[in-house]
Amino acid sequence: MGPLIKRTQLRPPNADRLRLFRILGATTLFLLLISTGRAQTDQREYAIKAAYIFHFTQFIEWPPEALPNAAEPIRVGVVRPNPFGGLLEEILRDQKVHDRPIEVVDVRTPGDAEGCQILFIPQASGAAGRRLVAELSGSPILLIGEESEFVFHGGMIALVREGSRIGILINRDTLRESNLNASSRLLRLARIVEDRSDS
Amino acid sequence: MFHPTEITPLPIVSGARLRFLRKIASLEFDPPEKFRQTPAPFSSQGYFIWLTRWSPALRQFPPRLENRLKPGLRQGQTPHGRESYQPVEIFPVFVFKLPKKRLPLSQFFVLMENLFHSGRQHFMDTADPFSISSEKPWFSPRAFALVFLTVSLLPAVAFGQVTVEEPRRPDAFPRPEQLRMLTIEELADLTITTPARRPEPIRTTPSAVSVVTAEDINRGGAMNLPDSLRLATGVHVARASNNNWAVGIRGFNLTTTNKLLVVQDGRSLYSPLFSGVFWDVQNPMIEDIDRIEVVRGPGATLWGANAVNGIINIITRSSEETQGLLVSGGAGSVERGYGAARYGGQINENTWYRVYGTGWERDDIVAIDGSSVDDRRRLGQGGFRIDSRPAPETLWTFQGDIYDGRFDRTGLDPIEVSGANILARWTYSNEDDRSLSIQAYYDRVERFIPGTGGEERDTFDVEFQHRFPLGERNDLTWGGGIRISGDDVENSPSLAFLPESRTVRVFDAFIQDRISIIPDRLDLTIGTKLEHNSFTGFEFQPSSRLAWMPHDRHMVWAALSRAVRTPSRIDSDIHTFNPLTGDLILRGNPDFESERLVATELGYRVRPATPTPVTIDLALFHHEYENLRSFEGQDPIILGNELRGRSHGFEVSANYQLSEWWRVTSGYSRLHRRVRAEAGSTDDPAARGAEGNDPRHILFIHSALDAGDHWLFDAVVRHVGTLPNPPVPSYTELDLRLGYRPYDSLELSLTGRNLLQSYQREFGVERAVPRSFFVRAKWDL
Repeated sequence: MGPLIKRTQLRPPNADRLRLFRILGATTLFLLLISTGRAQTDQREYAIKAAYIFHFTQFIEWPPEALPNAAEPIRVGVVRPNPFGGLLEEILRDQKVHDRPIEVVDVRTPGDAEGCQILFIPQASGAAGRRLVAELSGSPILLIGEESEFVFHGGMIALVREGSRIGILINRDTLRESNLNASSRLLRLARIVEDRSDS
Repeated sequence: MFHPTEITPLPIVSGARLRFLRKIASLEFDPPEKFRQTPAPFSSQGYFIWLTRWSPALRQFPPRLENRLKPGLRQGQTPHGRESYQPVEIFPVFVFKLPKKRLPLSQFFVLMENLFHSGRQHFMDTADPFSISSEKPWFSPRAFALVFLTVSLLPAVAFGQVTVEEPRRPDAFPRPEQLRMLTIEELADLTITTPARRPEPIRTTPSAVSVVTAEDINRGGAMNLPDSLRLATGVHVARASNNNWAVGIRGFNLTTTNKLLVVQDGRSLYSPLFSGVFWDVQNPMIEDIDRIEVVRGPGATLWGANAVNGIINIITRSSEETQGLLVSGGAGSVERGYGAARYGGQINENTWYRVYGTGWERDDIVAIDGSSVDDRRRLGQGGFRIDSRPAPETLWTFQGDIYDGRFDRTGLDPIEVSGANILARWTYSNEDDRSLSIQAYYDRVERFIPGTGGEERDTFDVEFQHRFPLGERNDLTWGGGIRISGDDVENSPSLAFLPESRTVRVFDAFIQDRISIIPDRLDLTIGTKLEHNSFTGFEFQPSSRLAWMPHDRHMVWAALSRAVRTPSRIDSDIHTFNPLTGDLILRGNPDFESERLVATELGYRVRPATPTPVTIDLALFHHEYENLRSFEGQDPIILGNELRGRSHGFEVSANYQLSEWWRVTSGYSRLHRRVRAEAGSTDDPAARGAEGNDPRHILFIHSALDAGDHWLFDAVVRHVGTLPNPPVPSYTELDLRLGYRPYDSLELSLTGRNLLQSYQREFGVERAVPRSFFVRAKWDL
């Protein structure tokens, strides 16, 4: 590789430098023109998560025993406190999966969750949510959470915030243990994690 | 797969309409009179019919559709008396009148050929090819018919939908009902914050845009920027020598092509020395490129002078997205060694950074008879990037690079290059359509060509951009900037820039307004840029673009713009001498004027509904150039502005998602270009191959196939037409790539490029590109 060649010194003329500073000074004035507004990041985050849940209904295959009756709707359970504020209902309204409508139910106890095919456990549900995950592991319910630790403690999918986007973490082992199958298109998009040996 | 829509497609109704469909399929027809609703200029070419699709869902007719279909039709009633069906989609099909025999697909291209011959006939026939003759429009009715042919051959394109659907503002965050229409990949791309300078979603931009994604670059086996650009529609990429490429859009392509603006992360890559780009020193780390946006056509209002024929915008990933360690390396038949490493981390909750280093040594050029030459290139580059988000609405970006390289030349001393740059940008945006950004950068380049000369250049640039809504219907963007570029040139007995040192200053201000004439259906974008530069003083670059969106999935746009190519050092200061006698052969003209372009464009973009996921983008253009650079006189030749040019053509891009694991991207472009000397000029543009060596057509097809969970197979077919002067025959080439991903974090690949010939000449008369193989491993933790 050749050496860095030094020919002449850098010498921008003074007139240019002065003009540069003047313009820089002028542009700082424009900072005053900005009006502040409320950031809408929270709403967007849950809108995207709700849309993900909608896509999961198409990209996950449940075993036949999880969908007993052809007329029964697909149930998406949300553990309290519900962070969606109606967004999930809006996105799932009038949608059908394999000719079944989709219903959103409020979940407090494991009994409520049993009729569901998907269960969303928000971060705010805390210890109650974790207990629910422990009790429902092994049953053919897709467990979706919000923190990366979720997939290491019995959860299957976590929708985590990665910078300014929402990313998907999937634990394939947990999915397999519950007889659930994920489409390769979903797996390609997600980050696959494996069970940690010390979990 | 589940189909969660409630509209169950029914077969198209039987009877007369079904007979029509059958006739279209066999391309023989005998249309009944009652369907001839075609406007007069096209009726000799064919006719329109309307196809309807029926649905069992009960919905309200919107008034306009109700009248159009069958007057007196009530809700719940169909033309055939079946109670519970209603039309949900109506689309026009233009049935093109062809001779009564079957038409093989190859005839389609003959038809296109005829179209342009009839246009060219106009040039040949009239005494003055630039006169406007009213009785013989150069754009024949067949042209319009063929445009519709393209539309009508598409699979089920939805034209209107009965569902009352509130249209979406182009850059607003999608509403819930729109969110569920996005594919899961698009969902993954959505951000919950809106950084400013985020380009509009491509489907709503009223210009001819194509995007080469990081996935395309990786899977297409491209290891440098020019090869990545081969995967964009309408870009002519030709390797001329060891370190020279000719990259052009819509004609006038040379190794010193000057009608293209190239920008990387906000930093202009074009050199004021010759208004072109030194591609050999533009080497961002390939793994960290997010996408390359290619805009065809003038974008002078927003991007400034020299964005005459197009803009190439290279965008690298933010450091938020490049966390962790990535190591990539490879070697091959011409790639003697390639290595890159990047590490990204987090400084605190809101600040991310990355540092990278890359280096390679390549010996990837041969002589035109296939024999090897001693033209080896090596370059090392490193850099960093920091992105910080102290508040949800504020974003700071710092980035810098430094490089050093050497390009060997047979029989001569090697070219030495080095450079460094640093950029800072602050962006504030609190809502979708309100933002402010300020940016400053410094760029230094050094190049030394033993025996010919050398250049050292420093560039300072400061610019700002402010965007805000004005009232209900206006989306205003305005801004300005200054750029100061000073150089020191080292001259040689044969080539000199005089004066040896010059500082070019450009001041610019622009304003652009996007007016919603009919909210979310009809938009008019008008704007202008006003620039003052050291060579020619003030330049004015207005543009207007009209966008009509009859439906969320369709857009028709038209544009009229003016762009300018301001002089560079090569136009005003160049002197070439006969090294033996010292006589002046050619010199530049201090009064060189800006080259001007007036461009008329028309485009159509469609994204049909599933289950036929195809995206088609069509653009037609007509460019008129004035003041093109000419060679005047003898002893010495003095550069002038006495050439005029005219070009027209079209570009079609298509993306087909054939199945979940197979995607095909293709692009075809066609160009007819003519340059003519003004009266009083002594230049002979045809003889010297003036201002560009352009093919009539360029085609690429990229097939990306996922075989199972771990294997990736890609094939790229590329065809470039004949180059006239200096003549280079047309060629077709094939690149194949086999990738293996045993785990998510590791990718191994074997790439073969230019497989069809053992060596391929692309430009010029000295060098050719050989067939090559390359093995690469990429480990992304």
